[in-house]
Amino acid sequence: MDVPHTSEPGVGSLLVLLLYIAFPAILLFGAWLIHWLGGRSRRRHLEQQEAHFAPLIRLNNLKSYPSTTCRNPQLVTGSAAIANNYFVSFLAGFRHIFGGEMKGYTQMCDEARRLALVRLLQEAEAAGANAVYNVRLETATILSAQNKKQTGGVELVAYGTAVQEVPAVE
Amino acid sequence: MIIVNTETIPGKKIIEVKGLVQGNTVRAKHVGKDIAASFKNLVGGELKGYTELLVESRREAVSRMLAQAEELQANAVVNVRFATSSITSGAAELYAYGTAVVAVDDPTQEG
Repeated sequence: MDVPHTSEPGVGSLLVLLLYIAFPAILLFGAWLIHWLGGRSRRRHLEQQEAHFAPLIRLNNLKSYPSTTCRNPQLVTGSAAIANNYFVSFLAGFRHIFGGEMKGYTQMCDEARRLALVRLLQEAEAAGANAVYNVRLETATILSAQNKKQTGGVELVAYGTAVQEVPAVE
Repeated sequence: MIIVNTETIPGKKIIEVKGLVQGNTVRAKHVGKDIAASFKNLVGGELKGYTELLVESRREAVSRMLAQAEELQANAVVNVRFATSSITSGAAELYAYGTAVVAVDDPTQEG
């Protein structure tokens, strides 16, 4: 039997090439581009926010208050869920073979923590506080509860007690 | 109701400990948000749907904890902690727990 479609050798192998090499390569390049551009703007936003809050509100994780007067205690929270990037997890796959620091994941965790803290600070500012005591970070697992091997991302809840601190009078 | 995650309340004195109060919740988003999140795994960045989910779950857990504290006739909850578990993927499981207390103004601490 003469089948006209399969008789051409180029079509099948071209399809395979497209499926297994070209498509992942395009995806990888796209992911890298988005990671580079998106990461830059996210870090700039975080730096701006942190610089804004640094002179206004102090964070600490002390469980008790020093002798200075504190008013209006209030629970403040902030949360962030950050997904990883196809490019980053691709590189991390190589790290599993050779060992060493997974820089992409380190950066992702760092971003999530800072974003959660910035949101906590925003809530504290709205409450008119100038200090947040006993700041704690809790990680959640929304994405990767069933499949532990696959790192879906980081989900963080930051919480603490916001107070208005009045400096001690001599 | 005063909620703090420290053991003491500034400017207040704890006169009575009512006991442990807790609230928990397991919440999920609709399937569209889950699909959007799985696509987001390709490009990275913030999962807005899941951040929202965390905020909602936390509020729900805290409000349940407060309902318990009100039942005990407490006016404050101290040493509040959040804990998470992983029952199923695509859902946020949050526990909030603390100690319900009765606190009164402390003139010696008020500057």
